[in-house]
Amino acid sequence: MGETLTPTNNQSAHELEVWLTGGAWITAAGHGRLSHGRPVPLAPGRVSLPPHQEIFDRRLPRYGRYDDYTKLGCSCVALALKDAGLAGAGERRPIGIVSSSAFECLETDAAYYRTAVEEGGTLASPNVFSYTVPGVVLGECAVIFGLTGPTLCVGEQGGRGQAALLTALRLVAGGMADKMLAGWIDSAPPEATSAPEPVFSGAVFVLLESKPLCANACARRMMFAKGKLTDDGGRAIEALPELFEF
Amino acid sequence: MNPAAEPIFVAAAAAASALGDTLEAIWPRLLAGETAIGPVRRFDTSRLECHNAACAPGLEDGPTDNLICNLMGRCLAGLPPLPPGTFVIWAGVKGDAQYIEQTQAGQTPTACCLPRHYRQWVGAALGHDGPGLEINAACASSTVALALGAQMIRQGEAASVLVCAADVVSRFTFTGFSSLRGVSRATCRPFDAQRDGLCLGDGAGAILLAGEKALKSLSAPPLARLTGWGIANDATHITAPARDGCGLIAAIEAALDRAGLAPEAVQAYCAHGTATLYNDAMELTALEQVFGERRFPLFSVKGALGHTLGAAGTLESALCLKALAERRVPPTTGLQNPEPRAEGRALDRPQPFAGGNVLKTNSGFGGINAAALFEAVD
Repeated sequence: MGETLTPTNNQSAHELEVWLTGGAWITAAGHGRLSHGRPVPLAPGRVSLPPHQEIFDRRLPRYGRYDDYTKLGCSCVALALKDAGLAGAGERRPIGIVSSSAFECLETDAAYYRTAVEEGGTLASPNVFSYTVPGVVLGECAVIFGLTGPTLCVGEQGGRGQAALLTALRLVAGGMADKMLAGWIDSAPPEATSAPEPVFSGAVFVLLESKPLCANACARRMMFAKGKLTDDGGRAIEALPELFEF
Repeated sequence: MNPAAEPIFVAAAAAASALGDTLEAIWPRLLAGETAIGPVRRFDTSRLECHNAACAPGLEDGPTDNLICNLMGRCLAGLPPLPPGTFVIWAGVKGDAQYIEQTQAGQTPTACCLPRHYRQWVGAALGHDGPGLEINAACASSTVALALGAQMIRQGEAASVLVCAADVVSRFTFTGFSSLRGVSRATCRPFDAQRDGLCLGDGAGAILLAGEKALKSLSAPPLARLTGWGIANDATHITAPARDGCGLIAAIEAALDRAGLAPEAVQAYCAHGTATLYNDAMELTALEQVFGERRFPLFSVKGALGHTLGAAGTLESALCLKALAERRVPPTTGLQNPEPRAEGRALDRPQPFAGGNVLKTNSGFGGINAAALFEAVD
C-alpha cells in the first residue's frame, strides 16, 4: 500500500480537493493514456478499437456479445484504470462511474428494434435488448473490474464529458465515493454523421480520487467548488479532453 | 450552519399513472387494492406469450404526439410554480422508443427522442428556464436523481431541484422484457410465492426538493424531509440482481448512515418489488440482512401500477409521502400467497405503521441500486 497524498487544510465547506490519477481516450484518430501526455485528438469517422489483448489482461467471455457502444466504453475504462495503476479484476472496489453521452445507445436501440418488428415480436433479441439501457456499459465495467460505487449516465451538456465530470465530483464531494471514473462515450448514429456540425465518436475517461496514493506519478491536484472545476493553476476545466492538455 | 447538515425538504410531489392523473386520484384506488393492469390495446401482442400492462387511458389522444409528454403533462399539472433557479433533472429511461418505432415504420417521428429533449420540454411546459441535467441509471434513475439533487442542495449548488421522470408502455420495451422472459403471463404479483414476472406500466412522477431558503419561497408546508440516500452497484451481472443483495444492502446502509438512523428507526419499506423471481428474492435477502428478523410493513405498488421504469423512483416516492402522511402503507396488489420470507411483511391490504421514516429503494439493469429515506415533518 502506498503513502496517501496529504490534502491541504485550507478548503472551505463547499470546496473539494480532488486528484486526477489516470485517464485514457479512444477516438477515430487512435487511442492514448493520460500519462502519455498527449492531447485528445478528436476526429470524424468511425472508431477502430485497439486489439482486445492490448486493453484487457484476460479474455472477456461476454465481449463478443457487447454492442459497439459497450465495447468502446469498456475499452476506454480499462485503459484509464490501467493508467491509474488500478487495472486487474477480482477484488471488489468502491469505485463509481459516471459517463455522459449526446446520443446514448441510440444506434443499439434502433438495432434492437429491427429484431422486434418481424414475426410479431417473437424474434426480438434478448441480448441486444440488454444493451438498450445506456448504463449497461457501466454495469459491464463494474462486473469486469469489481467496481461497486455509484454508476450512472448523464446527458452531454455540450462540453464533451463536462456533465459527467461535474456529476462525478458532486458524488465525491458528497462522500458517496472516494474514487470516481468520469467519462464521455458517443457512438454517433449514422444520421448524425450528416449533421451540419461535426459529430465525433469516441470515449474519454479519467479517474478522480479524493484520497489518492502517491504511487501514481501523474497525479494532479484539482479544486471543485460551486459546480466548477479548476486545475492547480486556476484554469477552469470545461470538458474532459482539457484534462489531457498540460 | 454546517452545510452538511442542511435539511432537504420535499416541497411538492406529483404523479400520473394508469390508476389516475393525480396523486389524489391514485392514492385511494391504491388503498382499495385496485389494479390498472389489463390487456394491452396500444399495440399488437397476439404473437407474444404476454399480453398485459398498465396503460393510462386516453394517452394517445393527448395534446402532443408524444405519449411520454402527454403523461408528464398530466403529472406536472399537480406541481406549484417552481422557485426561480430550480435545477431540473430528467430521469426517464426509454424516451426514444416511440421515435424509433415511428422511424422504422416510415412514419414522421415525434420531436422528442433524447433525454435532453424531454428536459427541455418540461422546462417549456412549466415556463421555467433554468439549468438542468438528464440522468439514466435504468430503473433506479429517478431515485439516483433524488440523491444527486439532494447532494446539490447540500453542497450549495442549487437552492431547489425538481426531479421528474416518465416512461410509457411501448412495443419496444414490451417485446424486450418479453424476450428476456421477464414479463408475467398473467399479472404482477410482488413477493408472492407464485410470482412469474413483471407487468409494464405508464408512469410519471415529480418531486421538488428544496433547502430551507427555497422552502420559504413556497407557500405550502413541506411534505417530508429526505434524510438519507445511497447508491451502489452489485458488480455481479448486467441484467440479473446479485443473489446476495450486496448492492442493495450497501445502498440502504449508506442511506441509513447519512440519515444518522439505526435500522430500527425504519418503520415502512416501499420496495422495488417487480415480481420477478430473482428481484423480489434479492430484496428480501437484503431486507433480512439490514433489518434482521424484525417484521414491519413492506409493500410494492407494481401489482397496481405496473413497472414504470425510470419513473418508478419518483412515482413511488410520491406515494411514500402519502403513506407517511397517513401512517399506513397501501396493499401489495396481486399478492395472494406471500413467499415465506414476505409473510408478516407484505399484505394484500393496507397496513398502519408507527413512527416517521419510510425507506424507498429501486434497482435496475447494469447492477445499480439506490435507496432514499423519507422522514415525516409533523
